[in-house]
Order: sequence, then C-alpha cells, then structure tokens
Amino acid sequence: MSENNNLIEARGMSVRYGRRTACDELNFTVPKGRVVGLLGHNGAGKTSLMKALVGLMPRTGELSVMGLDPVRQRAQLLQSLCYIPDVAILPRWARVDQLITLMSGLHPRFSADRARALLKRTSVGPRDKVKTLSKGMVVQLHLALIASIDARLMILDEPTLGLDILSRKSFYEMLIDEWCDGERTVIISTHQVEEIETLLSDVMILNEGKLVLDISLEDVDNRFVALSHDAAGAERIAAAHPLLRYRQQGEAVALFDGAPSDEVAQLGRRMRPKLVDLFVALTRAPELNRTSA
Amino acid sequence: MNTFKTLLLREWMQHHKGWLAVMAAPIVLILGAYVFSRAEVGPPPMNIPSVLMIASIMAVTFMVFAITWAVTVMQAPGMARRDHQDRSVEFWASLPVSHTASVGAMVLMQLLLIPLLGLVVGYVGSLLVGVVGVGVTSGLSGFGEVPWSSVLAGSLATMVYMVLCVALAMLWLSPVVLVAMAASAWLKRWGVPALVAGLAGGHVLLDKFYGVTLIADTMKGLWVNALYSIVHQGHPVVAQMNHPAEALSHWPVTTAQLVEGAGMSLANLAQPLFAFVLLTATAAFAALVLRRRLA
Repeated sequence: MSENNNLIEARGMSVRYGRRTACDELNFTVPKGRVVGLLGHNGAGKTSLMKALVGLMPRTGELSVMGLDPVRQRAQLLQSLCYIPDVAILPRWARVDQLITLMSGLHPRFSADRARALLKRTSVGPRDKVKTLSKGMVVQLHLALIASIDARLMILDEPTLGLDILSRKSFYEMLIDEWCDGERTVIISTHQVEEIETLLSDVMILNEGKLVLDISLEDVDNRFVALSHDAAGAERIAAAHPLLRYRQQGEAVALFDGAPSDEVAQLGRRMRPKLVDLFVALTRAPELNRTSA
Repeated sequence: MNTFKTLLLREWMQHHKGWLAVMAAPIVLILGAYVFSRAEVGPPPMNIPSVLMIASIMAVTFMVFAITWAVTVMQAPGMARRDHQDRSVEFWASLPVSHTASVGAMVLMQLLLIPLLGLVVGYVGSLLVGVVGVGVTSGLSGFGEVPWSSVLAGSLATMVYMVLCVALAMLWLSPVVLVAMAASAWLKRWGVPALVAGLAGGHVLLDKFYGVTLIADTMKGLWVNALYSIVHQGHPVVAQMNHPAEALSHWPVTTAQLVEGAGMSLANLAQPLFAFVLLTATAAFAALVLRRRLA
C-alpha cells in the first residue's frame, strides 16, 4: 500500500477501445479525504476512466489505486473500494435481504447491520424484490449497500441519473452524512454540476478524453476570475480573450483563466466563478469560444 | 471458501424455484395419478408390493434425475449469458470476487450439484410414490409384504453409489456442455447453432474427403463413457435395473459390490479420451472466465 496521502496516482494513463481513445495520457493524483467531481460531456471518457480505476478496463500507462494495480490486483483492490457503475444493475430477481446476505458473504468489509440501519431510513423493505422498486428506491438500496462497506474509496458513475430532485437530495445526504468522514475519498461523475458543486472539494474535467482541469475548488477561486460588467466595457472585455462570456442574473459576465490586467479588471466587478460556467468554458468546441471583434 | 459458498448460495437463491419445480413435477403427477385415477400399475409381477416398491424407487429416481439433468444441460448455455443480459454482471464485477470463482460456482451448481440434488429428491420422492403405490394397489396388508429394511438399506446404498456414477458421467459430458456454454457466451444466441453446425459440417467434410470420422467417434465416445459410468453390463449393482422382479434377490447390496462397481467406473477414466475431456473442459472454462472478464 502507498504510504503517501494519494489514494490514486495516474501517469500517462490511456484507455482505448480499438483505435478509439477514450482517455488520453491522463496525469493526476487523488488524495484521501476528498470529494472529487468528475465532469465531462457524454463520451468524454468518464466511465472509461472509472472502469480503469476499478480494474474493469485495461489501460496503458501507469495507474495505482491505493498502491495496487487495478487489473492484476482487482479482487484485493475491491476489498477497499466500492463502486456503483450504474444504479440499474442490481440483480432484479433478488430480494433486499438476499442481497444483504450475499454481500455479507462476498465482501469482507460489508456490515449487514449497518446496511439494515441505513435502509430503515428509506422506504425500501427487507423483503422487497429489486424488480418491484422504483428507480429512486433502487438508488437508495444500492447506496445503502455500498455505504455499508468499510472502504477507503467510493467511485460513483452518474448515480443520480434519471432521479427526481427529492431522490437526488436524499442520495447526497446519505452519501455525505453516512460515508464521508474526512478520511475516505469519493469520486462522483454527474451531469448535475450545479447541484453537486457544494459537496465537492475537487473537480476533474474531461473533454474528449483529455484532462482539461484538475483542481481543488479552493484553487478555482484563486485561478479563475469572473467579471460582471456593463455594456460599455463589453468590447474591451472581449478583446482580453476571456474563456467564456455569458449572462448571469441579467448581467454580462466574462470568465478569465488567470487574473486579467488591472485595466480590464477595473471594467467590472469580480464574482465567484461557478463550476458549471467553468465546465462550459473548458469543454465547448473551440469555434464557439472564438470572441467576435 | 466462504466466498465460494456464497456464490453457490447465489445460484440457489436465483434458480431454486425452477429447479425444485422440475424435480417435484414428476413426483406430484405420479402421486396424482395414483390417488385420482387409480391407474393400474401393470401386469404381474408389478402388482407384488415388494416388486412395485423397488420398481418405483428405480423408475421415479431415474425419471426425476433424467428430467433434472436434461433441464440443467439445456439451461446451461443460457446461464453463461445470464448476468450480461440484465447487466447485473457489472454489479457482481464490482465485488471482490474473482471471475474464476463466479464462473466456477455457476458451472459446479449447474453441471453437478443440481443433477445430484435431482437424484436425491428423486429418491426421496420415489419412496413416497412407492409407499402410496403399495397402499393404493394392495391396501394396508401390502405394507407387510415389503421387506422394508432390505429395500431401504439396499436403495440407500445404491443411491450413494449412484452419486459417484452421476458425478463421473457429468465429468465425461463436461466438454460438450462447457463448449456449448462458451459458444453461447461469446456468440450469444448464435453460439449453440454455430457449434452444432460446425461439428456437423466438420464431420461431413472430414468423412467425405478424408474418410475420417473423428468428430462423430469422439462425441459417441463421450456419451458412451458417460452412460458407462452409470449403467454397465458388468456393474453388479445396476444390472438389476433391467429385472426389478429379481432385484430383491440382489439386495441388500454389499459394500464389496459397491466398491467393485465404483472401481469399474473409475478405471474407465484411464484412457486417452479422458485426457481430451480434461483439456477441452479446461479450455472451455477458461473461455467462459475470459468472456466474463471482458464483459
């Protein structure tokens, strides 16, 4: 096991499907105790990256998860890692109590008592069959099972896809209240960027297989500058080549990577950049980022 | 070991209702025929209570076992794709369980443990059928005509022997079933048809152009040896199956007879064809594991 604080270390890591590259030469580290948001458009490489982390996809380059090779040491790795690939994949024939029995026998760090206690907070009963549960209830069940594993790393691949807002809120509450304790790390991919922003400590943004941003949310505020401005300064703001220009609460806003010059900064009022705007700025097609004179 | 036992438990949890229904159906039907139709059991000596009891034990046990075996063998190719079809393979793959153990538990349950359970359930059911049959045909007085200790001791000893025979028979047939499972896993619904077409086409080509009947001879050899493991002219215990009326004279079965019969079945493994069995079954199993790993 690695003795440093990094649970995950990747260097030149790539994932390929034949000639198509899903993840391209990724370099990143993930320390313990972090809640990392993995963002990207459909097909950006999020799922491929997650599958490589849990040893379900071969990759090239270096990748170490908790000091282990995910493919060669997969069974050992999964004793300290829990993974929700897709919430619709619980076996539909099984009852809840059967799943708890099976998890108890298959995972050395699973606690059946904890699972039952977590499920008491939900509307899922022990004798319910998975196929009779709604999508939200399946999510609650799956998370309760996974959260009952005493693991160091949790990887969630779009766990709230298709859920209504109440179910999503319930999911996040269970995740933060019952599992995150400052020592464990969560990597979660989602399209609901605005919803999850307050939960995250770090963000990784993938765009067409490349890691375009890997930063803590604290450093986002330090590195990126959002300037709200009026129409008078629009032309000079545009000439400074911001990453993105958009409207927020009726005001024009420009997003810069790095502090703009004092002359430009004086044209507007500094705001806290939102993650969703950063995401759009970094993953839009280049021609859409071109600023007009 | 706990992990493997849990994987076997998983198989049971998922499929036990179907398996038990298949095993119980013949027993229930025969009991129903006895009770509701009062059907004749046949000409003498079948109307002799002791003969009827032994014949019931043999026939019902064999029937339930044969039906269970047929169902599990036909079900096996589909089992190879079971978790892929509902994508639950991703759930199972997210647990710290090796692909080899997952596939191994499924194969062991499907190809050996459930057929053996069919044998045991068939035996237990056959005792019930026999008792009901004797009661229906001969009344209470019929029960006094059956040498129960001899019948029970002999049939139980034969059952123990049959467990070994069935295990060996399944071993002989394992290449056929495992290759069909691997074909189904890799080629999905086209797997078994492609396999059958390939074997049939290969046999025709080899025979027509080279005069070689290797494929047909191999298949025949596997089935013959599987059958030999259970039924053989020289098996001292099983020979009585052909003549239930004379079975009583062979019971109680001695330990020496059982050991001799078992020895004959085991000695039959010492032939080149069995090496082919082991190699082919191992390769097919590896193909199943690989397919699961790539899922």
